[in-house]
Amino acid sequence: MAQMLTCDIVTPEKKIASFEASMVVVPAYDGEMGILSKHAPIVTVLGNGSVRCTLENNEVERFVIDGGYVQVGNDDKVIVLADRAVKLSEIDPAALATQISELEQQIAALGEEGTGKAFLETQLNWARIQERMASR
Amino acid sequence: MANLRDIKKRINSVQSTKQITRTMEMVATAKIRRSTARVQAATPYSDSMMEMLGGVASHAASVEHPLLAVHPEEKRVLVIAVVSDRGLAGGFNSNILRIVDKYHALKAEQDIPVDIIACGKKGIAYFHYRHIEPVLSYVDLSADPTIEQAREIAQFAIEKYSAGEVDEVRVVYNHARNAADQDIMDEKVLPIEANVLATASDEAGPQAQYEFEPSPTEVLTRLLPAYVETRIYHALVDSAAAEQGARRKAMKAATDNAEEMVSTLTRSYNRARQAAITTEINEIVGGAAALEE
Repeated sequence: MAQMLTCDIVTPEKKIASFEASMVVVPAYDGEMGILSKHAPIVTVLGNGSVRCTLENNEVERFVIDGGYVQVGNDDKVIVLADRAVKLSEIDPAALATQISELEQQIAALGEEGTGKAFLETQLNWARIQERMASR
Repeated sequence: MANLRDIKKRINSVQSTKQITRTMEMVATAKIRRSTARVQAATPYSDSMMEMLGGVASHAASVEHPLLAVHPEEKRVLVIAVVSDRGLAGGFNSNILRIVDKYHALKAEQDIPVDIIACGKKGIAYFHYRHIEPVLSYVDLSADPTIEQAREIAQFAIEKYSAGEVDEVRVVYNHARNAADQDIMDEKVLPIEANVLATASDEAGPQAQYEFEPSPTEVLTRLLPAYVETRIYHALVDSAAAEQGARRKAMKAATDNAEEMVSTLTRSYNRARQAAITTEINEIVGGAAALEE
């Protein structure tokens, strides 16, 4: 049996999930990175995409994240510090589509250089990432 | 002596005020739990972040980053005032606003303009009254601050600071020391002080020697803005928890006062009633005596 890792997925607001996994795959800044037990301690910048945790019973938990870091300690502890994260099964494609169109309208309404435009764009970006991952 | 009906009226009005304040006290008590839970939920992230920051800082000690750079001259400062949307919380709002106002006045003497970000209706109303226009303002979020709001504020502050438009960013808020007491915090957010990194790396201590991908400097560059975000988010949720605590305390005091007032009023009501009865008896006895003669 494979050795287990403890994996925490944390956002600034709360701890999203915590479990024992035999393998964790995270979207690093330059491509996906798989972490098994006894991985060397490492801190890596994350891009966006899906985090996949293979559990003991070979089931896979999927999460969508955007930005952040992963920290692998020398005690088989993986902490994913994501800027934004959501469980894949909790994404509602219909609600997401409305959110995207609303954000697009708001951005269009702001015109060239409205204040808070950059902020809305990051929101839109995050919604699009979720959409892309959910449609896979 | 006040007449009976007047006293009765006052007793009634104090009693209904008491009912309101007691309800508000109970509502605040219920909300304290939720807002403290939020503070606790945010702790794992900030702890891990500090640990990482410490680890990185010990590797990239002499890194140069716009958010670490101290601007040589103070030409413009940005203050984030975190207050609430609602009043009736004792000195919760006024303490913060007074500090910001003092700071504003102090800087005005030195000819340094102060930009203000107001979080909470009470702040906006106050600054508006003082003819100070906040550069950014937020309403309806003081009880339920979101990370998005913190991000927006952080992004704004970071942009201005990196561009050299402001030379210092402070945040003023109430810290919930416990369910009843609040401490006023006045913290410097930007530039990030070198000792923050130093203490973080001391606390991180000699544990795992992490590898950093792509490089310690690169990781630090991304970590610092996130650190600013976390600081601001923490200030917002902490203030939300403190607000409920302050309101509960204020409403408890109000309820107690009302109770005391009702008992004083009831006493004078009884005295007045007794006095009226005595007068009446005197009159009757006097009248009877007059008839007998």
